[in-house]
Amino acid sequence: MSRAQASGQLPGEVMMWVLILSELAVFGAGLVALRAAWLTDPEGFDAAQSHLNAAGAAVNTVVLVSSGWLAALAVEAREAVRARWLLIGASVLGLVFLFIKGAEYAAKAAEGISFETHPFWMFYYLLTGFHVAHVVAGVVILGFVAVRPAPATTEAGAQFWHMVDLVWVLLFPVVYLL
Amino acid sequence: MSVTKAWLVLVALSLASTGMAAMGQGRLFVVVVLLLAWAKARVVLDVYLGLQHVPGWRRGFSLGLGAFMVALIGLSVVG
Repeated sequence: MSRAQASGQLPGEVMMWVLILSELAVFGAGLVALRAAWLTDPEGFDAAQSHLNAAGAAVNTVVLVSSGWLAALAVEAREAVRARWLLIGASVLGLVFLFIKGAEYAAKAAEGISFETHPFWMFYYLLTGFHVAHVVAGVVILGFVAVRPAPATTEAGAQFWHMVDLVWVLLFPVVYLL
Repeated sequence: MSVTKAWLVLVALSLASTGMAAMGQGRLFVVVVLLLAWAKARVVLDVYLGLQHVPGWRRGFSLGLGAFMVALIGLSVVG
């Protein structure tokens, strides 16, 4: 436990926590809006959701939480070389997530599914697309931090990546499973 | 909880929620899947993001997350 944590302060950068809270609020509002809209047309939303590949999204969940694990280990690493390789590993798993997500988007496009097919797909593309944008940003951030890993930058980069993780573990069941 | 133990818990909870989706439907299924998501979010906040070391902040985040999850569960079971 760090001195800051022992004194009751938030771990890492305060601005990262402001970002985490604001992102959680945005995604949280989107997910609540999706479930509220579902009530207006349950059969239509259920039929649209049945086109999703929940198994692929489950694989992506394991990929992302594993990437978060590597980022968390990088924060604990005492040697810069070890931190660098852990951050590179986290970034590579982020790219794997993006590859699987890209295949999912391509499959939907091949089926002729777009924003306008049904309101479910508007929520789907908005929520998952916004999340993908954060994954891309996270991969870039982790890549930059891996060039010259210092404790403060590694922790800030990992915090951003865990926020991406946190959003996904809430988004996955609401969009893909329920 | 160590980060490695947290990772194992997250993988197990993810597999459990996917397995639930393959097995069932109905209100109980919805509640269990969302409770599993709630547990995963708690693990990410507590261990990956380090809130387990700052109880005051942990309580605040738990309250906010709890309110959000209750809203989601409510909207999902009334449908």
